Amino acid sequence: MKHQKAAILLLAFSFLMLGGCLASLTAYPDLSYDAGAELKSIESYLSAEAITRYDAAEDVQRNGMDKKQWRNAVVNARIRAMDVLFNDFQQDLYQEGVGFGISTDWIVLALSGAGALISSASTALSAASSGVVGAKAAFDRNAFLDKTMPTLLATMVAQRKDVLATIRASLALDIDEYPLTLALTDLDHYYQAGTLPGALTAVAENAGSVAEEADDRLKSLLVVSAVSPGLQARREQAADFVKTLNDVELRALAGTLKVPADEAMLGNLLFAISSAQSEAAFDVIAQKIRIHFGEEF
Amino acid sequence: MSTATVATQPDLSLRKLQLIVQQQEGIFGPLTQISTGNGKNVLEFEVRARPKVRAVLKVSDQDQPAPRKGFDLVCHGDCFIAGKQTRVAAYRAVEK
Repeated sequence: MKHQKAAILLLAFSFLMLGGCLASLTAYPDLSYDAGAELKSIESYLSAEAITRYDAAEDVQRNGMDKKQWRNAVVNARIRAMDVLFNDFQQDLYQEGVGFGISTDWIVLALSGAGALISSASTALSAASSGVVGAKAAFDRNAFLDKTMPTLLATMVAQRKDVLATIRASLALDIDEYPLTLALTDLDHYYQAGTLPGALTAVAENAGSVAEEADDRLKSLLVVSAVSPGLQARREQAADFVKTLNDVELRALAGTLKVPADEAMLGNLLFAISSAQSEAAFDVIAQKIRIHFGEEF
Repeated sequence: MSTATVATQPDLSLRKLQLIVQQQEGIFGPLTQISTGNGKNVLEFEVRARPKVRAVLKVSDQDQPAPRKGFDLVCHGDCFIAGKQTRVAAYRAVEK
């Protein structure tokens, strides 16, 4: 009796989840064109023969186009084909659950668990148990994909735009400067930019350069040490004074002390004071302040 | 909020590091963060008026430093004390 109750509850839960899924929005609207038919219509530009025809002596062998026009037609057709396939790829990723979270796998697990309960109460506990294990695995995998895949997809889209901009600009060039072979290499980059390994490489390179920048910043930090109480009192008085200056005065002092007169002027001047770690070094700053503002430190 | 970040050598005693923190607070403003980077101690300060009461440093055994009566916890992080990575908390006495 208890098992029957559990079966009914689990079934109800499954249908609720399935119902929620059916009622949810779809990620992609239907295409207003037939992608397959479109690819078919441009297949003459996608074949290896298109490259042979580019080298043909007569325009008539290129449907009346000169070499530059043919190159551009081939490149544009291949870009279009890659875009169609990339859209399919994106949709496949979503159908795998990316972007929808873990609901799909949970529904499958819930339904299979419920099915097992109906067929035999004795297998119910083991089904429920394997369902919990499976659910955890689904959660781990999808939680990972949920976090990383949107970033990778965004990277792919951004990288493809970058390469596309280069290709589009190059198509204005003559064939001497931008022959079809070079364009084909760029098309390979365009394809690569829309792949998961390509996106991962871009993310890794970006992370590397960010880490390098942070490392450089750390290396360039001012290393400070303790100074005598007498020197510190002078430095603090000077810092207090500098903090009272207006923008014009700060700029003038920054110019005199040869520190950048940018948005961080005040900070830059305080760094100059902090870096004066001997009486002699501080005397130089104190003298400049005295000349400009008549203040003694 | 404008901040200023400086570094110190890793071989200082806690007392010496505290003195440096207090001296830099006198120039830049209140301490906001302590950490390590590139083999040194990294100290971050908020650029504004110097605090009336300077920060004091204490070695902390816990990830979340214990509250101290009469003090506010300013920040905490790993620091090199005498060359050894040590959990340190910065406190500031509450002004009366």
